[in-house]
Amino acid sequence: MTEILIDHVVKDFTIDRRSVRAIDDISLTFPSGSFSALIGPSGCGKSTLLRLVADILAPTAGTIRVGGLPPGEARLRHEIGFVFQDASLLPWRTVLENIQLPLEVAGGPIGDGPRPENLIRLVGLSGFENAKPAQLSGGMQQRVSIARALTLRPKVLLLDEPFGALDEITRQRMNMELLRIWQETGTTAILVTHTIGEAVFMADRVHVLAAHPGRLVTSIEVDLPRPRELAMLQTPAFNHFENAVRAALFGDELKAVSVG
Amino acid sequence: MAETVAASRERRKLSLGGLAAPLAFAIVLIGLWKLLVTAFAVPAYIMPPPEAALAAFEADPGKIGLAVFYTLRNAAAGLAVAFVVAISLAAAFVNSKAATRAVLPIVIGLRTAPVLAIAPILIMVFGRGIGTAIAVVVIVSFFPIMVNAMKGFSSTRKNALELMHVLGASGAATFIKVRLPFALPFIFAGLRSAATSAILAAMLAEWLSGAPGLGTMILDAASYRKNDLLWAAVIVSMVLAYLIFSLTTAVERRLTSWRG
Repeated sequence: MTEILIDHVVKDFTIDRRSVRAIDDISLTFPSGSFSALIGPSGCGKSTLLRLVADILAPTAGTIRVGGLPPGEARLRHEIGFVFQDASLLPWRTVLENIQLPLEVAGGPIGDGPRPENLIRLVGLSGFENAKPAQLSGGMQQRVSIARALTLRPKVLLLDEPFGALDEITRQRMNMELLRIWQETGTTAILVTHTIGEAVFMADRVHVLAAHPGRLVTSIEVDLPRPRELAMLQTPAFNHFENAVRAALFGDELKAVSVG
Repeated sequence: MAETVAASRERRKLSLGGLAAPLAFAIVLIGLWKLLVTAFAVPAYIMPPPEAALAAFEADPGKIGLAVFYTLRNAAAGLAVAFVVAISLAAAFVNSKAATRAVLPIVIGLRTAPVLAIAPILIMVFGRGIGTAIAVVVIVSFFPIMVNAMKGFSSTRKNALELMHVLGASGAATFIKVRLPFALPFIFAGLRSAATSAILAAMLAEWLSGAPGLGTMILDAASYRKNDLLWAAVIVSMVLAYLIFSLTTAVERRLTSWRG
């Protein structure tokens, strides 16, 4: 199965010849098939952490394992699907051609990977196969990018604030669909977000990070039943988890003030 | 939204087909020419009336046609070589800082050296035929293509490159599927200015080497005081440059129609 392990990971960046610590000794486990959220202020390294798991960046120290493999190996086995903050579609390709891009790169489907036509249906874009990205709304573009991330049947789905640019209503609807897709595909999902409600609604576990340097504050188990439903947003249990995340986020800030 | 995109594309197609406006303006210019010559009684050895230039064209269309063929062939061959050299250099420079540091200064040196100054060397090396013509065209026209291609190759969206990396794409696949298409609008901007200067460069090469073509025809017509032929050749060369400019623009529109 595909558990993701992050073990004492440190990441430094060099900015103007000065070394800046983006991630300071974070250890996390993402159980196989779980949905986790990373939340924190900007500069807490949540997107960096996601890029380390995807082997876009390499850690300065520590180890990462994706289903027991180093990220680079998992990546070349097409076990990682990545959804970017902007849809990052190739504007000269149609919806179908964008979804087929991973197949072209990998030289064909991986195992019994899903057919692009089925993926288009899965993300609710039937009838838009031949549309160009410029003809789609932001939400529809992001659906295409989710379908594209699933083309090679990845075991891991990494989502970097995928709905950050969408309005509240569209975002809520997309989140519901994302949960449905996640449950149908059985991937291990990590969602980077800066919205407390979104993190609680989506995840089994919310990891709260603090900034400068990026470090783990606490992890909160969200013990809400699945499938998650919109009505849960108004329950005391949901508020309880929201408050716990909020306390973890702002408690850290208060500490920083009293120290400085 | 889909309708508006389609409509704007339709409008653009119509304006592309609109040869009527420039044609009408050309007729106005010819009318002004005629008026000028008649009103100020300009002697024919300075500026013949338009019908005399037309007569010169009609007297020997084969001769002018052959000259156009030579000039066009040299310009096209030179442009093709320049294009390949420019794209290869730009790709190398974008991929390797070492290559940029070693080769770029020499390329710029070659560019800034006046063609007239190195012409004797070119003629010695390449002879008085098509070789020198191609060399001059390459020197004059590869630079704008290269500079624009470099700008284009480095303008690729970062997320698109990260996406290809996560998919495990090779450098070549990333170049062909992502970098090159993203750079096309820039490459065409360079190609447009290069194509018109390629005609100029081909004619210049004929002046320098005496090889047959429009340039030599203009030079000969001037020295033999065949003023009607001189004007006919000048107008033909202008029309040629305009047509090539329009052609590159049309191809560009076709290949980069995805740009909103």
